[in-house]
Amino acid sequence: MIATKAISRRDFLKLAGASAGGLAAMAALGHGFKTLSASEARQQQEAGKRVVYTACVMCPAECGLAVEVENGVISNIYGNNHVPYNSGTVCAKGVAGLQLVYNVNRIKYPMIRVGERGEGKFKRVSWEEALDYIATKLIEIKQKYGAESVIMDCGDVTDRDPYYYLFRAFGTPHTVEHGSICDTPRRHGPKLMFGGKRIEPDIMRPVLVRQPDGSLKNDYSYRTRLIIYVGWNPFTATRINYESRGTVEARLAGARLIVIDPAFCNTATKADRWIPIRPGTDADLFAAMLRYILENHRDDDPFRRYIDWSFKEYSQGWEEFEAAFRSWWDRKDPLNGLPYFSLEWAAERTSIDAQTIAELAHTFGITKPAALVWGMNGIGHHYNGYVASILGTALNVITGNMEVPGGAIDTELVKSSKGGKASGGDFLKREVTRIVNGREVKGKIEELHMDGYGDWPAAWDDVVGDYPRRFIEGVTLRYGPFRGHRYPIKAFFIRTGNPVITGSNTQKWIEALTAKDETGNYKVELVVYIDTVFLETGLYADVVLPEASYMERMSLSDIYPVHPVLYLRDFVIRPMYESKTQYEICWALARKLHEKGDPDIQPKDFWEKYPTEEDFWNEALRVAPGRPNTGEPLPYPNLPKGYKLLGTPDSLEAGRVQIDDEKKEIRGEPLTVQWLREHHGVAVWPMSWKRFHGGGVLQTDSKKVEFVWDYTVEKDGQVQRKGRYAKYNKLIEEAGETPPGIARLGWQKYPSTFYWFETRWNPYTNPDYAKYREEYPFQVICGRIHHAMSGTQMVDWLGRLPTEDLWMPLNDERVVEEVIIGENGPTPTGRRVRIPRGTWSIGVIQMNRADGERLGLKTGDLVELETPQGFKTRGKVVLVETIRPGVLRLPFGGGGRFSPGLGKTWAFHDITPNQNALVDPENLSPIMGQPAYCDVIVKVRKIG
Amino acid sequence: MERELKEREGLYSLLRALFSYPLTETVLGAVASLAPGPGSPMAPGLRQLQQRIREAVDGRALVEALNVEMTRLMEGPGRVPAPPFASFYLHGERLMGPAAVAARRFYLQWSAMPETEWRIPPDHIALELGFLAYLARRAAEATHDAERWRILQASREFLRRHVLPWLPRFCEALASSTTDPFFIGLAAFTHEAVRLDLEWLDAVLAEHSDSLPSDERTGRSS
Repeated sequence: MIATKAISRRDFLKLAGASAGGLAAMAALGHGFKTLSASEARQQQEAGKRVVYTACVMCPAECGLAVEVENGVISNIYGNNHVPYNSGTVCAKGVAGLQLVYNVNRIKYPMIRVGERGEGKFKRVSWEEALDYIATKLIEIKQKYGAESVIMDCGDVTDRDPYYYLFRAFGTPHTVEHGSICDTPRRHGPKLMFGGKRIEPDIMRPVLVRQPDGSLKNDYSYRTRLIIYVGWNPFTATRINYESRGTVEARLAGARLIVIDPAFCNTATKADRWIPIRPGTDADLFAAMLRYILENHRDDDPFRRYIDWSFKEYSQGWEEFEAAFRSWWDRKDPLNGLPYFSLEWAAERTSIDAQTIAELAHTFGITKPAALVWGMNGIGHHYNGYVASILGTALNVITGNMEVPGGAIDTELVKSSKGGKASGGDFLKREVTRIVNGREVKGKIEELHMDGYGDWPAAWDDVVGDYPRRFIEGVTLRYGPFRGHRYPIKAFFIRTGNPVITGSNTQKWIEALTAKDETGNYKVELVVYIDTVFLETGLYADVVLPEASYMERMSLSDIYPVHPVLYLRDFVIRPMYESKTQYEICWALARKLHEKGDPDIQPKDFWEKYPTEEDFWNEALRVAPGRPNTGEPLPYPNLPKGYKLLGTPDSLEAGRVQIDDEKKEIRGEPLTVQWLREHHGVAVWPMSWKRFHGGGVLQTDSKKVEFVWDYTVEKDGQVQRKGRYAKYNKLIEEAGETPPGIARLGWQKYPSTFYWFETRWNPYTNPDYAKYREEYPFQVICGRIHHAMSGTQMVDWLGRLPTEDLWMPLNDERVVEEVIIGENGPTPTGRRVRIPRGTWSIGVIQMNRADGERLGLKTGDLVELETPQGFKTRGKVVLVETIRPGVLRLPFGGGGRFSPGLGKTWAFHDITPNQNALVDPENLSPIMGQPAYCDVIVKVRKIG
Repeated sequence: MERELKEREGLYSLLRALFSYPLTETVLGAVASLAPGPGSPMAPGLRQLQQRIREAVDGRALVEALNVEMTRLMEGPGRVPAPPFASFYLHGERLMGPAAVAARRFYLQWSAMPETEWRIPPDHIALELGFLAYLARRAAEATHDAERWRILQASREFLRRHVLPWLPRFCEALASSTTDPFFIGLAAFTHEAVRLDLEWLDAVLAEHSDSLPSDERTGRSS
């Protein structure tokens, strides 16, 4: 040892406490540890691995996972082999999960805002204080404005039942999910015609099939002969997990693949044919395909037998639909003088040549089984998406492809039920009283719904599309018993959602959340943000609550399989920091509300009924699978056909059931959390096909595929009005008012069968916009990158992965002056962080090379996009051959990200494009009110 | 030696409290009561802390302001300038890395568990400092010499292998991200305290080993 002055032990610290006892007395402040017994310590060490079966939430695909835990730390994420949905596979988002769960930017503690909304200044508070704040305000708001002035938006993560339950009990009809401001136009056809939602190809393998000898076996065979994806990119979106491996496998087994998309997306790389359609013209293409099929079908020519008339066995109204469709054929389109839906007309509109369209229609007609499938960013995001959706559904039906092996399946109709009473639907039926124009009016809580009884009687599944406008203007009900009733929106709860970036126009959302009234108070008095990750919308919250990450909570998966499959999300580790599960948050808030005297929150509905988390989820499981014993082969040949199945797979298989002939139910042993834990986390019931026959799984009024949506039937001498549009039309007739959305189309009410209208902001199909062709030569569409909407851009691995010419490591080297939100707003700290060039992917603008060169651009140049309304965004261009000319593609959630919770993605928010900055906030699609995100045209200007 | 051991416990308890949210008037009072000897390397940092406390007119307002600043610096939400976790600095700005696992293992080897159990990553600065206070108490209360030396060796190992690899970077991040002298002073004070304690432990353990039979000299706890 080097000889130095030995440190005198006496004054080694040269520090003395002036108070009595001195420094030593400060030990009273505590060390924060407790001593365990030797065996307790050993137990804690948890030698060896534990495996927990759970479900991912890195995106709404919610694939089944098998997660390994070592010493209390999650060590590995694998797919769960027992879940046929993903069959042991996991995508890049799933394996990157730990970078979200253990992310340093995660919300750890409850916070209350300090300063103005948007400044991002918060102070940490206890749960007690946060819940007290929220409950006090909620009660005040309910008393002054009514519970209907509260919105509980559960964003795009599906395990939302506790929130729905709580807020419905509280008395608001506005329990909402992100799907409402998402892609609902594309689901309209299946909803209207089947009572369903999503048409997917029958390529989920394995499927569990009843064999001729009575056994159940996993079938891995693919029978599909043709898949057509229209504006759908499953290889990147991975939302319907099995479409990645299934498309590849189906091709190996002999299927052809056609991808119709303005961009050459990842899925197109495996296609036999890529057809680069003009954006916003999918409806035009489908209409031409249908006309071609109707004109050219021949019963007696096997080479032209497109239509399979057996569809009439389970449908009604086709003749009327066909007649309405044909009635357009003789009309000339004022835009091009050509007959509607003819090949020449469609060629003009879609810019696909007539020969190709004919071939496409013929191929689809003659190849069986086949599936025509369309997606979110295409049909779902256009003003006239409904038209395309209805036509696409009709095409699948009349060609006989629905519900045949290898054909097309509406997964909503066949997936397991879940939720039941745990969703709180009963609360919506409660009767309440309001004073409307001086009169006392009674009605149900659900009849106060801002869209469904406001401007949008056809609102999707009770959810809301028409905000944030309502935050500023308030609500006036037009329909139902409460028509004339006015109320403001006073509280907005947002859980696992980020509408500031992904819902409608970004600036409009910011305006709505920061709008103040004459007294200088925020119009929306309470904004609460509940999540694990800190996204832009959190900057505008008054209270931020830390929700447990998906590895730290319990719930049920929500997926799109081709037969009933249900699996558990389970605790892999306990909630970290002070985060809480949804159940814990809702039950704690319920207690607070009850303590403060809210009359609608009763212990008998909450902690007395579901004292533990498991009790709550067992309630949600009681309705599983909830599908009829129908189809071929019959799932349970020894049980009554057509009866509803309830209970675990093994009890149904063994016949340990009770049959209720009155209710037509087969009741096996109820599915529970414990059962799932004992069976690799998953319950799988058998597959069958032809489930439309005999009523089967269809959810329309007639239990048939409906081509007419407002009709009358005679029953017991009484005339009844039926069909999905009949419901809305009755409301319209009672009120004597047409909803503004459809009034704009020139309609008085919802049509009873086929209809046609144009999309908006499309200079090539809608004469109103033709004048913009020259000055705004680019149509803007949106493409998926390998992220979950706007929620995962801070994850390190995903930040480095380039995707599809949209998310590219084109970051310049930046030495970023760290900017923090200080007392006076954004403040440089002087600390510098270096991000080397090409190490982080940033959102970029995909542009056709010829377009770029004509504008004098090269890859990496910074441009500004501007719409006719003056909305702007900026980004670097990437010049490629893989997109049609005249189209720009932007990454969804990839740019303009101004939340500091996003790390390096935030560092580049000034040079990355935000699709939602360009959206016309008034362009709400006419039937259900969702913003039309891809009806966008721009001009381009180089700025750097 | 008794006195030094107790003072070590007091010092680490104080440091732990200074990195535990929320700060309280009690903790500030404890800081204000310390008297730095002239020439102590801890003096400059401590003086900044004390001056900040002394200058405040209203004690409650000071506590509130310090807690708001502490939230901004270390708590969140979102990206904070000075994340108080070893893994962040040692494992590529990620949390729950090997440093967290190793800290947890170390605590359990001494049959110690945080009162917050495992909800907070085990490599949080307050937990690591608190653990040093815990070991300091055990050393002070040790009934046999051999046990005491074993505990001091463990304290040194923990400092060397678990704390010092990242603490200087953390303190630098803290100091450079704020203009509030309280936290600038805290960074300096903490860095010096830990460095000095390691020097003391090295010196004391070297002295002790000189007096041991040779085969016991290099004994280290696992």
